[in-house]
Amino acid sequence: MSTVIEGRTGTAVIGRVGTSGRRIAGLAQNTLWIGVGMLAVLVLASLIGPAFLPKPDSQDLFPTLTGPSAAHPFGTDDLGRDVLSRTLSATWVDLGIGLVTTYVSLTIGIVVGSLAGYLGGWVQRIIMRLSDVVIAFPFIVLVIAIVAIIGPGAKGVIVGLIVGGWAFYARFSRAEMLSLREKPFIMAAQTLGYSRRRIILRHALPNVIRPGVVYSFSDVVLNILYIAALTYLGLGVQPPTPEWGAIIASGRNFLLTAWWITTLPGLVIVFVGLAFAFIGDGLADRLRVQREAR
Amino acid sequence: MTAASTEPVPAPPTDADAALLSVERLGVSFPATSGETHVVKDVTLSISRGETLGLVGESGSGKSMTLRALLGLVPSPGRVVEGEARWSGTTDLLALGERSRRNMRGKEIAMIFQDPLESLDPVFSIGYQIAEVLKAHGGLSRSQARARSIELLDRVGIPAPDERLRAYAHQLSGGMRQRVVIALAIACAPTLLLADEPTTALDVTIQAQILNLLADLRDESGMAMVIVSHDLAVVAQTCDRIAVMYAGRVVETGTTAQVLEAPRHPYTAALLASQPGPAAAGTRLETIPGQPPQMTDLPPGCAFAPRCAFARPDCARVSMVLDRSSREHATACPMVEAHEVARYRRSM
Repeated sequence: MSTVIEGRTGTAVIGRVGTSGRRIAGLAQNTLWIGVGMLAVLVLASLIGPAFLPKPDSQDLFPTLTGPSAAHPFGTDDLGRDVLSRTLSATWVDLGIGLVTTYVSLTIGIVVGSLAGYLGGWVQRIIMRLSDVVIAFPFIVLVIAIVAIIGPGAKGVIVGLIVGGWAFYARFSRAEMLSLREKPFIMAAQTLGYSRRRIILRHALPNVIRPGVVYSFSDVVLNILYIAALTYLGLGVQPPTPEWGAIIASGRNFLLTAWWITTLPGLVIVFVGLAFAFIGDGLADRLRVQREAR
Repeated sequence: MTAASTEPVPAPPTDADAALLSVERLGVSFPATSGETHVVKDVTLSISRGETLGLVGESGSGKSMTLRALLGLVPSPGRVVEGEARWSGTTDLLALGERSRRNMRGKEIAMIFQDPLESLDPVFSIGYQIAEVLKAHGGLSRSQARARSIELLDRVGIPAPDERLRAYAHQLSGGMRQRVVIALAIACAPTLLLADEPTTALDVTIQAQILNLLADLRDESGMAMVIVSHDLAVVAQTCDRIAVMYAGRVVETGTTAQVLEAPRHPYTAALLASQPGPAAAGTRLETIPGQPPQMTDLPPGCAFAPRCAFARPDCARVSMVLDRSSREHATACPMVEAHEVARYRRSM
């Protein structure tokens, strides 16, 4: 993570020398673009890959459990299915669920949290006690409980991650809103005779959303990990739909003889995790540099 | 006066008729651990059309809170507990509902704040923000709003206004920002402009420019202004009348000349004596002994007594309410005669 360290030491210099400030801003942008690039590579591969690879569900029982080769770069599993093909087509499932759960949670959390912070009173009490209840549970236990109620499958995972996820966004949106509410520009908006709705939606929310968006990138990674973990436990996406956790789970019996079934999809998860972490880090740096420039 | 002199003389216009805004015994209080803390109490002010009133006092003397109370923006859990504020002799601003209050804000009464950076929304361009007021109150179309925004920015002295519309608050200098804030405030041609320390966050040279701008705008549009400041020089330069506040009360009011040249309250005199000036060059600057009182723990009677050079035992029974017998120049100190205060000043 040399970029981050350089970024840190560099920020001290920003105030003094304009050119080095620009260089640091450039570096921060680079982390952002490295992340975006990594993500683009994966998405492109999963778009183009299927044209050259066997179908993810097509079985070829003659050469099962073959190691990585030119024909099967990630090897084959116990049913002779191409692991790379399955991993790539799982990208849509994992990224899709990860993004949906994160951004639905973010939207719900920011809206109710901001309302709680701005309105105060009983609205705040109800919303914050609800979020206390959610946060009081260990996250994975709560999600498993909800999946148990709804039933295993993508739907259960999505609902579970959203029910568990909104509370964090609500917490810090409320905190942001509380400090924002005291800002003169919010009072200035009041003195200009704007309605409460306009002040919340037009002036307060855009200022709350920014930190939420930065945080959400690490949340996408976490949610992808939870999806994989739940599927690994048999609670998530059901076979034969390819999903990273499912692929890894299917390889656990052959860990010593066919390491590629678990290891290579695992590395893809790490790759995606890094990509989102870079994006989040780059965004945070850019926003911080902007704030300091003010 | 011939035959008509037998006719009953029409009653002279009362205060309420003449004044654009007349505030009577305004009180704002916050709940405290023991009972209530009255941060504003018995504040009586009146502002005529086109007049500029200076509200002077130390930090925490209740100046800003008085302005906020007029707009219905006292931060919770504080609230207005007593008094009335008659707008044009009729509507009581303090008793208005939320909706009618909103219609007053911006349109009839506008306000500008101390820190111009903090009072502009960081995520929108200034063009957007000015157009927003115009659209909210004036019902202007997009292109009309844009044209009017350029006009407003030009009026408040911003060069190349059409380019500046795209700028964000952090890209402008302090003086420019305050000009933008003023443009926002005057966008709907308010009848009364409340300025809360409008120049405190600015350089001295910029201060003068902003004050001149405010005075020009007032003369042009005939709007009334209330300028809150702790800087007597600012007030002396721009205001017709002055009200001096201490511990949430108005202790003296009068025309600028009366208050600055012949103060009648010992606090005003002490405040004036602690202003640096060319006459005092080389001598030690006078200060008012002690600290402003804790609002939660006010001394009985006159709150200024513990710091007052004229304090006497009876001060603990003074009610700190303006003596209304002299309409023009009133003081809240019944103990000290004007000539005594004058002598005190000379001895400084």
